[in-house]
Amino acid sequence: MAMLVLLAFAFAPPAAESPVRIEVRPPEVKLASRRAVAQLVVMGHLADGRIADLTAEAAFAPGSDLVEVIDGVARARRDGRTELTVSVKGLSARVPVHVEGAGKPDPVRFRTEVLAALTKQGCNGGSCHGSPQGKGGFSLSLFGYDAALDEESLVRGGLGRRVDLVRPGESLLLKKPLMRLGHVGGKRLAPADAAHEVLLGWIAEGAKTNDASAPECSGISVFPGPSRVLAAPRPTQQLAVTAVFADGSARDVTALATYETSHKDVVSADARGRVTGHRRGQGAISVRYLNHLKSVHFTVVEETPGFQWPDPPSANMVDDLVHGKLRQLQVTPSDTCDDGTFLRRVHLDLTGLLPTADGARAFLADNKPGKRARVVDSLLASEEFARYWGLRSADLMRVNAKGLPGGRAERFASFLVDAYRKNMPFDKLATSILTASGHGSEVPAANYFLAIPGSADLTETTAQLFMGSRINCAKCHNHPFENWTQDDYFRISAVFARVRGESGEVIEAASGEARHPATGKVMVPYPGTAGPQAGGDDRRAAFARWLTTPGNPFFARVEVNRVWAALFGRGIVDPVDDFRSSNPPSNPELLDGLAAAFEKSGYDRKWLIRLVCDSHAYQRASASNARNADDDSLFSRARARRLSAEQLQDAIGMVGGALAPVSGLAPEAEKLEAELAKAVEAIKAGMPRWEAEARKKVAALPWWAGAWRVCGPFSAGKEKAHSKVFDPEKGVDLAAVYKPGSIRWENRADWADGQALDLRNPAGSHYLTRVVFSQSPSTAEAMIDAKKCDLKVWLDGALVHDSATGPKAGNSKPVKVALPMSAGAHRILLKVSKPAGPAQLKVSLTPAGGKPPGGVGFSPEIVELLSGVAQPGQSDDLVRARVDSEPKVRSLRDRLRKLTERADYATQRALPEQSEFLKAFGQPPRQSPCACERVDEPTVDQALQLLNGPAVARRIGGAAARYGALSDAALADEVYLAAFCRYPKPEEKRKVLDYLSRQPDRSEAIRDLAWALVNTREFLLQH
Amino acid sequence: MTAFGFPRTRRNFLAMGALGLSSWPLAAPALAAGKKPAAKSVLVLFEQGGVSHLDTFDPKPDAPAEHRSPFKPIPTRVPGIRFTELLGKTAGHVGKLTIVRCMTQPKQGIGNSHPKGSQYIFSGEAPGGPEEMPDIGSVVSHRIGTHARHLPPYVMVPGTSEQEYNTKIGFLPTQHRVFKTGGRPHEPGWIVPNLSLAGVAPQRFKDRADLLSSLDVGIPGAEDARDAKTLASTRDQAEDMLTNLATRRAFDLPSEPAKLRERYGLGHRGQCYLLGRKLIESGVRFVTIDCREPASPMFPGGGNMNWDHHDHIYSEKDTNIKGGGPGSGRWGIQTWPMMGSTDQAFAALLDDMDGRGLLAETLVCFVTEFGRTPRINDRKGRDHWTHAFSFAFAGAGVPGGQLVGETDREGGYIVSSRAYTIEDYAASIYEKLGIDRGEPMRTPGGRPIYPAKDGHPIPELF
Repeated sequence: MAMLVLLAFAFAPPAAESPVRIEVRPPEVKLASRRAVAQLVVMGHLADGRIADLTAEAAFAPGSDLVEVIDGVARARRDGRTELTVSVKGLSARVPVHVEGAGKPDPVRFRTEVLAALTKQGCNGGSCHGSPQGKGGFSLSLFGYDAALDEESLVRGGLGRRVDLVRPGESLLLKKPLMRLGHVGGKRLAPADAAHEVLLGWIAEGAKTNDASAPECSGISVFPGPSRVLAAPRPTQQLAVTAVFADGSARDVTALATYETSHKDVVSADARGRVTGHRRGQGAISVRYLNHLKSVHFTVVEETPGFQWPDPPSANMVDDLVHGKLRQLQVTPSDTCDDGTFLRRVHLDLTGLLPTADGARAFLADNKPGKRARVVDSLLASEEFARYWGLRSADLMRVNAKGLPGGRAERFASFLVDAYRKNMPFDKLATSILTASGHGSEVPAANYFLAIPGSADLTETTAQLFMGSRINCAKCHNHPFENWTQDDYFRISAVFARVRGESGEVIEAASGEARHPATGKVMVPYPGTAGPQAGGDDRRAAFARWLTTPGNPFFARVEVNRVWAALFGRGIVDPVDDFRSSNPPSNPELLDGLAAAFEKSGYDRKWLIRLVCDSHAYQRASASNARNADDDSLFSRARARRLSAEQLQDAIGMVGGALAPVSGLAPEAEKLEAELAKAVEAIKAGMPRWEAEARKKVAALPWWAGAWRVCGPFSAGKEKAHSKVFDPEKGVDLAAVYKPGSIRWENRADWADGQALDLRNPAGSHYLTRVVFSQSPSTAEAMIDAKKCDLKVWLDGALVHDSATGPKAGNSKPVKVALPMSAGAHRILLKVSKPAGPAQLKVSLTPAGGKPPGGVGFSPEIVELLSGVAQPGQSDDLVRARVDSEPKVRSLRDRLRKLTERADYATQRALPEQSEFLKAFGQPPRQSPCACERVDEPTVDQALQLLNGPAVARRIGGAAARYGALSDAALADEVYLAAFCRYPKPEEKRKVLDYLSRQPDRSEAIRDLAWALVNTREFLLQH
Repeated sequence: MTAFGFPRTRRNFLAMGALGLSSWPLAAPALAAGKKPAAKSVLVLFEQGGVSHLDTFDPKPDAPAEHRSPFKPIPTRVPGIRFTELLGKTAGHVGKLTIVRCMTQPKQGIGNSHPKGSQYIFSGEAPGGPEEMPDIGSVVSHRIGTHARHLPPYVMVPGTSEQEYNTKIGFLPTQHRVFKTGGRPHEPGWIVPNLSLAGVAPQRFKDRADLLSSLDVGIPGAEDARDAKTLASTRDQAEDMLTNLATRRAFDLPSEPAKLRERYGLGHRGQCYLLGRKLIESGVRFVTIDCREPASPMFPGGGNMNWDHHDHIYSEKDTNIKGGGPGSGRWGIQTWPMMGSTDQAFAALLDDMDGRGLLAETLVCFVTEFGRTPRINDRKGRDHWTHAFSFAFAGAGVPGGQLVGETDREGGYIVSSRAYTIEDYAASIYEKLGIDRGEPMRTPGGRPIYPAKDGHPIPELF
């Protein structure tokens, strides 16, 4: 034997490709029935430690005629025991063979074989008979999900011609796909196919479908797995697939399984499970049998002539891991990008904003070593970083004012920003969100549950956000591309089955279960095991503990991948929230390594971001070289990508002169605060004299109305529940609330008569109330313009108008409601509900036949306080009301609010406006947890906006003021630094100067220049 | 594509829809194998609010007198087909039309409101399913693109009335979103925002564009980056649209002969219908007209003049009743701003399109979300009725002079053996355009969605 090996070595060129040892799978062939087969796989171990698939080259010699082996597949012929000798390349191995049951019947099973055969041949695929309408009048369930439907269709449908029990070979089910009869779908079956044998055998045996009680397939195993490197000269691998059944039996289903590739240009598999690598790269082969799926990850390596690993420097583990993969696949990384490109990239990535021209100038001039790392550090410490990354979190958490009214969206958004500001460990953040209880305005994290309307949605959102898994398919059927089952789905549902979100409050109820929709079985909360649940343990806490324990297969990987994708424009797993074995990471070692390090850091997100930004991998140029031009997933170069909607809007504003640099915001705010304090002091000092005069004025009025108070909105469904606790239709108590900490009467002293009132959520019901004071008996008239709404009006608790019975507001005419009043205070209450479209509400109050009493110049709230009707003893309130109503104070506060909220910066608000411009550029509507909601793809509509839209025109409007004072040459430098973080090249400078000198109007010319620069690809792309 | 091998990234997904570009997609050969599609384009006349079938396409002279329409049946050019006298002009073109009197909403309640009902018509799917469905026009843009790259593939005229929130893009990429002209096309000086240079003279725009192309050096070494290429191509296309005379001409109503404009009717509706013809002629793939006469001093009391005649349906002027009512703000069905202008515009459109040969390859659909009750209510109006209503079709091989389906003596329920749904209407459009409904679209999550999966093409239209 040893001699043979040596000889084999001597003759096999090149020597390194010859095996030193072979191994056969399975180590023992057991064939347990007449139709049983076994796919043999011969693995050769090479001298250098690599392995090669030698199945196709091996010779198989059975010791007797108990079995025959054709193309590496062993088939039973009669019972007994023997040995099989496998020889290849001068090596051989012996495999014991045991056949039993070859003489007994082995009827073809409908559910596990016939349906698999139909799937294998593509008959029940979505484009063929598996489409909802079927094809040519023949309809099958998609991938054989519905055995009953398929039974009906195959055995009884088609006038009974699909299966011919008398002459099985004449069945349409065979003749059509064999193209012995015309078949629109073409030739789909050959007599040599395993599926042909299954279908023909099944029909010949009487097309029996009575195997419902036969053991179900409980899983599959695939050899080899889970990953394999393929190398020339034998970039192939025969797979062997074994199905295991509920009774413990196993069957080789290599010929009936289907094989799909994630990257067909890299690796593919034929119908018999033979995998071939085509070019260097990586891909997964997903093996599917019935509803079971396993994937094998293949890395295809090949020697590219002249490749030499350049051995680039490594800054940290990121580079080690990225380089490992690049070297294996022989990809040469791009050079490091220049300073300007780095500065622009890291500013956009970490803060969403462009660096200022001054910042760029200083950075380019800085000669001290470590300047890039210093920028990363200072940006990570900045307020801008927290705000911008908070915005991205808020996108995924569905933070929008419609879903979270009453200021709760703002609360939740600032909570997410604060988590970055304080660098809250990510496990703490996730736990605080997933286990939150309480009112959304007091416990911001509780809004996670309140923003998500249903339990199914909560299940899917949680899985997608924290586990990177899209399990929504598993709600109705086992997931077609992953092993998520319907059971898993409802077990995750069970985690949240006791969470109740009502009236803005999350509570954990004492009872509530998730049931499997088909079986009605109560599900054990994920990921616990069956058996009694730990008493009193909050299911959510248990789930969060499981999720955030180091070693969890999802948690750290998903977050690491999201951070990576934010910095590289592509995840290591891509899309970022679609982790599944059939969608493998492009660099598993990188993902695993970073995830482990992230866990070790205590889930420190800033640490992770710093680690990545400091790497050479992050700082590569986007220009490709000859050996990485086709790399799109290994991070050998930077990915040029369009700025996001918010980045673009702010960038245009900064270059166009409409937005001030954020560095000026804090000093400006301090200045305003000082001014404001001074103004407030002045009011307080003059208060006693002012109050005395004001009281006199009010006392002289014949008639006046206080400020509006409003509460709501209430959705139509919740109305009843609210009226149980407090029924505003029976009486109004301004101090009362629906529930402690819940919806309050909100003071709207700013709502004036006749003005359109902005109801927070026009879709729900609102109550509005105000006090009206009459010095003597009189009748007031309310003109109420409540288009498209139902309206009820009460005066002192008595219903005086109801649009259900009385007149409705017309399209042009408001409703007039008379309000007869005795001397003294009266309360008007309005209920506005069920608007068809956005509600428009305007109310004006006048004395009957007269004009409203004007001339006192106080806000309704002040009037109300001065007369002491609303509540006695509120002189502090009066001071506050007066301060609040002072125009100067209001304008100062407004400016200050805009500054502190950074209202003008789209990247700096976790709850940004939804403008036409932002929407056109793919701002997510925040209606799902999918990262795919944000679309960064350039479109024609966007190009129209950029070339011709009002938002761009407005933002470049200030360009002349921003640059006009500079000389032409200085202007060219400045605008290039602002837009691109670089100085113009001489050629470019000449063009700019030329344009400026040619145009008659310099201001216009500067705007033209700003317009042109923000439309260049260099500007629109981060690169 | 293989059984499972659908695109796994949003980008691939986009690329499929747009053939590698996110610009408005060029026509793609994604058609059902072996068949030449009957229609190249589709013009939908969506008369919103629920047009009374009893007073138009489905006269019921034998209904009980107290509920009968006052408008008499009249013969049309085709023996056996009768309309009411409100469609006197359209009756002359019945030889081009198939009238389907057996339209119904199979699931009661889903589409029995104007927002939901309008969405139902736009998307051809009952609203409220597991995925938000895109408009039919967006699906068409996604599947077969357009030949006229200087124009959007799916245009709505003006599309900014009450139902503007009911057009949906669903899971499709944004470039297939409906383009709404907005505004009042019948008014002099009307222009389409975003498609006309805004505040910049053409010469200055040219100067700017020249400056841009001389300064746009791209990203050296990364020219092949996907976004870089797409940005360049979408910008070229946008520049073309802004400066292309053909784009401007497609919307240029004043360039039409005054005589022709008069034939359509000089009000809002007539000019919107005419614009529909112009856009089809200019190569737009899918056009929806969703118009109503705007409020004007000519029609006092008229506010939102759609077909929602809950009150005073036969009023000679406004439908407002004392004490208010849900059907206020319209004018009676026989008045000019209602069926008067509709009959004239529809007849002129059929005649004009036929004369220009446009009917050969354009499917014209006259649709509404539901019909109106056979009984007159106590406010002398008719309420929503989803059990039976009428659609009319012309062009693209639709047989002329054909009547399909029958309702009972009062027009309340379908008595013919066949009834068709809004899903069937959508399936008919896809079939006419040669779009294979067995080929699924994919949501970003990978779910297969089949166009008009619950519908079947209406056989009589083929």
